[in-house]
Amino acid sequence: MKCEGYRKLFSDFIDGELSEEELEDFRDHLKSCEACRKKLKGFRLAQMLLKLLPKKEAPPELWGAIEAKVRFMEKKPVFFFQSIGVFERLEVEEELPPPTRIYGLSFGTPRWGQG
Amino acid sequence: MVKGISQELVERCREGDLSSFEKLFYLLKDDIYNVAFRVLGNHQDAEDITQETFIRIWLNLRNFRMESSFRTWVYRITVNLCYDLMEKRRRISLAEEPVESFKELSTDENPLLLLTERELKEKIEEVFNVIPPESRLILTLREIEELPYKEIAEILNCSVGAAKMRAHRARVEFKKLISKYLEDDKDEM
Repeated sequence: MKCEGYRKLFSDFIDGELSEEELEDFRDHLKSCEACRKKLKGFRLAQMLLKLLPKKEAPPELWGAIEAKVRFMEKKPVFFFQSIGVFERLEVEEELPPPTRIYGLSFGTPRWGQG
Repeated sequence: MVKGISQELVERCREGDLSSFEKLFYLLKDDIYNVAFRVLGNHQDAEDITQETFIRIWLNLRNFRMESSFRTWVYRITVNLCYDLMEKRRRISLAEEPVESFKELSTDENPLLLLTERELKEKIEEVFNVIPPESRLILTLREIEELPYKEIAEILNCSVGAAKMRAHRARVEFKKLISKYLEDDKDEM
């Protein structure tokens, strides 16, 4: 195989995808070919630089938009009053016993035998 | 299942449990966002694609067959949405204005050796954004997400051999451009 053929194997070599036989042949060629060694060095460096690209992180606020859409699709709208907890307060009040209030008229104590 | 995504969690999402879906969001959001950002090159598009991917997951989860990889399925949705957006943009740009010429990088700048770490990362980003989106996609899946070729092939709907070949070509493209900043290796592959 010529140099060009070996250079097409650079990725397979880096990824560990060469068979033992191919690997031995590849290494034998590199030992005797300075040009391919230099090319592999540059190729490998470029691949290592790619690894420096940071993984971008999604803003967590995205969940709010997704949740709203999903609720809308599922017909479970988030009402304003629900969002500020009014319904929860009402539910708590329902659990309390009804207030007991006795209204009556007071006429005072009758006084007998006076006057 | 991967990264804490249990079959039970997927099952609960499938049943319509929104709190489980929120857990799924936090487990997957960065993988999706990163792929979209690397392919499309900006935060706004990446946010839109991430949002739309989760909506598609929610809508189609009932049709997902458990025997295939859940992560692969999610990546496929993201990749397809990215392709759809690029195709839409391409049609608009063809209709409105001539295609932009390939962005040339200036070569009279400092070699990588003379850059600070921050400058180096910026330079890598700059070069990465010049290579075609298809190359950016496969390099993102392989070099950043570190997926095996078998999974990449499933995501891209191609053979493992084709995925390897695409990755090699993409690496060569990146290497050619970054070589301009490598003092002792400026020639072609």
